[in-house]
Formats: sequence, C-alpha cells, structure tokens
Amino acid sequence: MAVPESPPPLRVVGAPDRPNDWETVYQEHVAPLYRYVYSRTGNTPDAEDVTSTTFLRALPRLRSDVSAAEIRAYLRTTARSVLADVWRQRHGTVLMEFDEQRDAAQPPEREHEVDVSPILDGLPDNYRSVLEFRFLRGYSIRETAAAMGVSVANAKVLQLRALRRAAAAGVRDVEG
Amino acid sequence: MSKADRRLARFVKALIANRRPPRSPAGDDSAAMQTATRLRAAHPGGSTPSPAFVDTLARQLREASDHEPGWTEAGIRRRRFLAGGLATVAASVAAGIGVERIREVLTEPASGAGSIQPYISAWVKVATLAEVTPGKIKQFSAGGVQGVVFTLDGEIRGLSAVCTHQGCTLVPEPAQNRLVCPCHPMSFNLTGAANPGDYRLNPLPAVQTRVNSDSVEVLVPAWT
Repeated sequence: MAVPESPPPLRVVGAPDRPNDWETVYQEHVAPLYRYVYSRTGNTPDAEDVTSTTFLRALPRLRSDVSAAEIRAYLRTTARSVLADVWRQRHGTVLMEFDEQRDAAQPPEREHEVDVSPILDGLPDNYRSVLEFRFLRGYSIRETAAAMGVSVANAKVLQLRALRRAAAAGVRDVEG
Repeated sequence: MSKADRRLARFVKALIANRRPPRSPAGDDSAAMQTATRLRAAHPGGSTPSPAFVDTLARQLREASDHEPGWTEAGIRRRRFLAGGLATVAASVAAGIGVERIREVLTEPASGAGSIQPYISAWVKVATLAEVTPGKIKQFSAGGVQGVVFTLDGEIRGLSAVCTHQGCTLVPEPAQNRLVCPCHPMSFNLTGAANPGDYRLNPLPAVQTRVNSDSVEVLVPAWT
C-alpha cells in the first residue's frame, strides 16, 4: 500500500494581507484537525498525540501567505503520514485506506461527522444492534448482553463477528 | 475464542474505554480494526479537543518556535497578539474554545514589572513587626495600593496584591508562601513571579518597604 511521505515545504506567494503567523494558523486549524484525526483514531490519547506531532512537524515548514484551504490540506497530509507511522509501529500495517476523495468531498464544517450508515446498513439485525450498543452507546459487554437478551460470552463473540462481517462488506463495496 | 479473537476483542475494549489500542499485529483483522475505529469515532461527544490539550500544545509550539531555528527563518512568523482577526475569533468560537484562553496562552508577558514608583509618594505605616514575622503575610490598603508585606529571606518586602491577569485581589496563603487569585487557577510566589499554571502572567510589582521603630511602612501615592 502506498504510504504518504512527508510532504515538501509549502511555498505559495500572494495575498500579502494574510496574517499567516503561526498563532493564527493554530487557532483556526487546531479544532478541525483534531476532529479529522479523531475520526481516524477513535480515542483521545491517540488523537492528541497525532494532532501535536502534526502541528510540531508542519508549522515550521509552512511558508508565509498560504491560503486557509492549502494549510488545511497540508496539515491533513502531514497528519495522514503521522497516523501511518503510528499504525505501522503498533500493528505492523497501515490500517486505514486513506479516502482522499471522501475527504475532498466533505465540506469543512461536516468533516468530523463520521457517517456509519454504510457500515451498518445491510447487516443482520443482531450484528447491527451489537455494534450500536458497543460502539455508538459505549455499553459494556455485560450491558450489551442484557440489552440484547443474550449471554455475556455470546455478546463478546457477536461483536467480533459483526465487526468482521461489516469490514468484509466494506471491502467488497470498495472493490465492487 | 481464538488468538485473533482475543486480539480484536482487546482492540475493541481499548477503543471503547477511550484508551490507546495495545500494540499487536493486525493479522487478518486490519479491516475489522479500521471498522471498529470508524464506528467508535462516530459516537456522540469526544471529537472536540479539550481546552487543556489546546493550551498545552500552544505552549509546546511556542517553545519550539522560540528555540528551533527552522521557525525563525523565512517561514511562518510569530507575532504578538494585538487584535484577533474576526475570522479567527469566529473560528475559535465555533470550535468551542475560549478565544481569551488561547490568546492568553499565546501572549507573552511584558518583561520587568519593577517596583511601584508613585509620582508623589509618602511612607505609610501598614503593619507592626509582629505582624510580618516569617510565615505571616499582612494585607494592606494604602494610598490606593492593595498590597501585602511579609518577611522573605530575612528581609521585609512588599508586593502588589492585584493579579496581573484581570485585577482580582490576591488572597494570601502564608502556609504555602503564595498569593492565590480567587478568579482563576493561578498563584504568585513571594518573589512576585507567577507560579506555572494556565496563564502566562506578568510578575507582581514590588512595593518599597522600610522599618520605622517597630512599624512596617510602604511607599505609596500620597493622597492628602
């Protein structure tokens, strides 16, 4: 799989009135970038680490007078490269398919909204339920088992089967 | 459960507990892990950075921009905050982050508060020696100055007791050798320097003191 390399420094000339000191860049981009990273990590410690590393790496390389859209793209490219490093070290692979088209199609104000209907739609009801209880509501295995009227051991296995089925369906969608 | 099952179950458990997933090979489950991550990221709440994180990273970036040469060359520059641009304010507000907070973290304090030098001044008694023995802090209000006097390193000293952040009157905590701001989680030590905390603040101005027989006097504006 192609892994994004660290992008070269960005140098764009023009718009001299643009206040591209790093404080302004940081204020404008920290929350959107964090949401972007969170949507690809699903947990706070990783989201914070990757966001920090991204800013520390990208800000010194930003040249003056770059548009907000270009900065946003540059930060995301850098973040993807940082994420790829994390996954390679932790899981020996790059987990994510970086869906550039999806990123580009998403308007900035909706970029952090993760649409899970493609994942859940088409799953059998009990698979769909176990994933909703566990991931969207954050139920424990025990709570999930109680809500679904199954044993704890059953709920534990069910969540794994549901994940694998959903993943396989997702892969088919991409390839199909 | 197979080994792969246990591995994937641990991955899921960590995500739902909002922890870093443990180090383990993805094996055949890399797509399942990806799906789990996507699903978890969609749960309500959690996708907004905490103010503490935003502050801490701002400090790290400032440190880096001060000390790493790459920052000071032709590239992006630092500036002191004079006035936040409207777009910036709107973006930060939309992000749910107090603009004031970020601005304060990023704003450098001016250096050297020095001591209060009133244009027309007078020595005013504010305490007895017994009130400023080591371990005590005596508050005073004299000539328009809110301050404290105390003994530090065998010397009687005075400090303004007005927080350099937003002007709240500081509360002495003699047991901790500090003055605490009632408005925000900040305090100052008895040299006048702000203790590390959520904001970078100017030090407190000193108030000149002298001992006159058994009285402690301070030099304050002469209001006659």
